[in-house]
Amino acid sequence: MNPMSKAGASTLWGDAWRRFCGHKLALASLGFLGLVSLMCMTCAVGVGLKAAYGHGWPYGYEEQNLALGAKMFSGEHWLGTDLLGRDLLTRLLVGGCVSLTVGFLATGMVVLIGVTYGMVAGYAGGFVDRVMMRFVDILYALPFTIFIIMLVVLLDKPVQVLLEHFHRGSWGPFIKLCLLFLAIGAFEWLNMARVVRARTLELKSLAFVEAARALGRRPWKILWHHLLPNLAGIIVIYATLSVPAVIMLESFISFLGLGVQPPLTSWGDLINQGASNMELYPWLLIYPSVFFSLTLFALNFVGDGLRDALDPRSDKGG
Amino acid sequence: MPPLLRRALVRLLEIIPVLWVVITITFFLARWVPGGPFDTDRKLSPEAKAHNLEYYGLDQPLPVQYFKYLWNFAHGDLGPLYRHPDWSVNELLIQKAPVSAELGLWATLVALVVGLGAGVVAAARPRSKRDYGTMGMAMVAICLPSFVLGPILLLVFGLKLQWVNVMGWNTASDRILPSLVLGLYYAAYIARLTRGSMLEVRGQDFIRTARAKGCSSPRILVVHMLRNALGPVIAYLAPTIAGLVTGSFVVESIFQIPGIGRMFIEAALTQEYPLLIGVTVLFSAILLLCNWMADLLLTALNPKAAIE
Repeated sequence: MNPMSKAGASTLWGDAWRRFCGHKLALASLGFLGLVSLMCMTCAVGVGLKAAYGHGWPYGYEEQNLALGAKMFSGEHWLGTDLLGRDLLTRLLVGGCVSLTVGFLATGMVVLIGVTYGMVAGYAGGFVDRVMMRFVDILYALPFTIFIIMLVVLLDKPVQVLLEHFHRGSWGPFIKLCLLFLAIGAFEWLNMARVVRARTLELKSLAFVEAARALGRRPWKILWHHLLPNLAGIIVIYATLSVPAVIMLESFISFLGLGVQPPLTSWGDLINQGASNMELYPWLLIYPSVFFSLTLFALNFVGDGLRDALDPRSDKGG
Repeated sequence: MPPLLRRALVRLLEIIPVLWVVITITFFLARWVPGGPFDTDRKLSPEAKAHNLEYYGLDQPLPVQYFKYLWNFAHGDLGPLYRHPDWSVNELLIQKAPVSAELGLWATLVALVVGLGAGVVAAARPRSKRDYGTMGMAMVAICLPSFVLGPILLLVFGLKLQWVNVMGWNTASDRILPSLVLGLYYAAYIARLTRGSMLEVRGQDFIRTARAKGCSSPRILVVHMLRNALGPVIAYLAPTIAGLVTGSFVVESIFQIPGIGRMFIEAALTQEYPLLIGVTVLFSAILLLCNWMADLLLTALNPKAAIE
């Protein structure tokens, strides 16, 4: 996304960036997202430093203070503490780090699988296309939360055994997180594949693709050099819109108690704990909900802004 | 046979092989997951476990079990419940599915009425304060997942104001909060879809003609412009209804509703294979039927699109 294109010449990304900047709310949302990510990362690094060297962030996300218990906000604990006396702000930011990481990594998976699958199906056409798309239809018909849960449970044991074998048992929670985003990515790519396939079908019949084919370029080269640049716009749009969907899914699975394992946390897990104690300690529910919803809000606005910027014809939603 | 009827029948018959694939995938994936329905926290003696496995035929080779399951399934028997031996999956589904279906239909009603209403209000004056306000609210609803909205509404209306019961599924007022929590998210999507499709046709000739003929603005909005939104809304609603009537885990656990939404997750966690396959197939069948009906409706609305 280079706004400094040659004077006078207008490029796709240059134009898109200009249009995006005209969208005040989207720009503000991008700023907000940057700020939240920065805060989350600072906190995660600070907590890591503290664990290693004893100074850095004032609290650890797993550091309990049972004598203190759940308290409202104060000078020491800006957002209060939870039932075990853990600093809520620290847990929120560390949880945010987990949620955002899973969101972006799973979206990476979605892009990788969805774009490859959609492009191959669309470009191959005919029988291959029909079989590949029927497979997508079948996956659509499955209640995918069950399958994500089964995949997480299915892969859990073998991975544990493997880790024990290499004496890396402490990597368990981290690997579990990876399993989660792999499982989510394995089911979220369906929409991406459909959209990419439809656009590939359109592009395939255009003159420049036929010319490339007539000149004897290999199919893979055509996909990579000629189709992918033209698909970039919709890929970016759908990828941005799938980040909030994935974060929501991760939070839902953590809400079920299957995602991140305590004492590590994520936003869904924090909301779940808050919801079970909301009667006496409403702030445990309210702060995580506010953080979570504002971030989703910002992600959706950035997605909308990008869609308007990259595909000016569409004016759907607001 | 008229081509449209033929097409409808072919599409209906195509559902059967898809369901078979769904059963097969679920069956084998569920069996690959380590552990089993009798590996509980309460340790069973090896003899008792072996007896249980033998009683339910789980000790037989997997292909044999698979074909036995298919045979029973074809005869309408979805199998036993391992942990509650006096129940069968059929009985459980018959008792609990109607609760989820009712909740789902209420939520669909909320989604449709609120969504279409908000979409029309927003599209009436694009880029006005009313438009931005409505669409902003839709965005808020999209960003508040049910596990955030549910507890918060419960906290405010159930615990603080005490207007409704905190849990249960007995009185009419018990239906309000769960339907809202479940339906508002989809209402927001429908509002965005409706607004977008209505604005697509705003500048077109037939709208100008209608205006020139002296049609009132509300009539143009509802009769001429809203019609363009029907297609996308129906296409969106079909899978949504399937998801709603088969129950939501989150809403049913927050409001303590005895539906099948919770059974989905519990079946996957406790590895009650017949129940797991039963609810999966139920969901898939409803989803495929909804898509089939949407396909028919869309064809009826726009016969031209059906020809390609």
